[in-house]
Amino acid sequence: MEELSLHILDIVENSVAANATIIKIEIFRDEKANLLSIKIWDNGKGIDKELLEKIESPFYTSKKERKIKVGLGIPLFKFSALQSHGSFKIDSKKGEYTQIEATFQLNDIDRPPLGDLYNTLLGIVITHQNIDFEIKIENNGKCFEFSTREIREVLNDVPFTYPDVYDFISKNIEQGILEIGLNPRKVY
Amino acid sequence: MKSLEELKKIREKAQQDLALRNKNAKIKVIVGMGTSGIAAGAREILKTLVEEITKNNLTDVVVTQTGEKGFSSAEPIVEVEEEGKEKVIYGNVTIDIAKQIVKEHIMGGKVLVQYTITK
Repeated sequence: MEELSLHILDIVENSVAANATIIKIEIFRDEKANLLSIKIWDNGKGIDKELLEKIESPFYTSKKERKIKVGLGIPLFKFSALQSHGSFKIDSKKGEYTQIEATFQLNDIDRPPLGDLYNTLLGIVITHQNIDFEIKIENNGKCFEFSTREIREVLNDVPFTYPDVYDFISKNIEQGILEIGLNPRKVY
Repeated sequence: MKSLEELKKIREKAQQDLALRNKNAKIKVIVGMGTSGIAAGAREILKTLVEEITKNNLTDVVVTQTGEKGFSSAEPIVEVEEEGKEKVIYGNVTIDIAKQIVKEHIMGGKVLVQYTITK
C-alpha cells in the first residue's frame, strides 16, 4: 500500500465484517516526538486467543471459501510499521472488542505518507451509515474530533448520500483536517 | 464542526424531497474493498461513484462495500444489483468506467457489456 490511509480503510473493512456498530479511529501525529500512531478500535465480534497469534502471519485468512489461504491486510500494515522502526499490536477480547495500534517514526525514510486522509475517512463514513464512527486526529497538539452518532440521530432515515448531507459531512471532515494544520488530500 | 441546527434544516428539506419518491433503494452499487481491491484503487472508484450519485441526486441508489469475492485479478470490482434483474459485475473499473456506470447503467438502464466479467 502506498498510503497509510489505505491501511486504515482496509482495517476498518475488517471491523465492518466483524459486525461492529462502533468504530474508533485515532491518529496521533507529533513532530517533536517524531511519532505517528494509528489506532483502530471496534466493538465487533473479536478474535480468539489462538487466532490472534496466527493473524499477523501472511498465510492466514478467516475466509472459508478460499482454497489458498492468504490474507495480507494485517501483515502488510504490520510490515509498514516495522519497516519505519515503529511497532504493531493487536489486542482483542472475543465478543467484546478488537484494537489495532501501529506506530511509526514520523521522519523515517521508509514510512509511507498518510496520503488522502480526507477521501479515505469520507468514503468510510458515507458508505456505513449504520455504524457510529468516532474519529480523532491530533497533529502537534491540535485536535480534530468527528463523530457520526449525532449526525445519524438527527438525519434519521435521510441517506448520507443526499447531496446536502454529503456536502455537510465532507466539508466538516475537510475543514477539520485543515484546521489542525494538515493538507486533507495529502497528509505526510 | 458545522452546526447540528444546520443539519436539522437539511433533514427537513430532504424529508420533503424524499417523500415524493419511492423510499426504498432500488439499486445497490457495491464496491469490492478487500485488501486487493483497495490496493488496486477501489478508494478512488468508491469516491467517484458516491460523487456522481450525489451530484445527480440519485437517492434511490445505495452505495456500499464488500470484501474480496475471488475476483482479485480483476480489481477494482463494482457490482450493480437491481430489483428483479440479474446482478451485473464490472471488473478492472477505472474512474472513467465508474462515471459511465452511473450515467449509462444506473441512470440510463443500459448494461456496459464490454466491461462486465463473469465468475
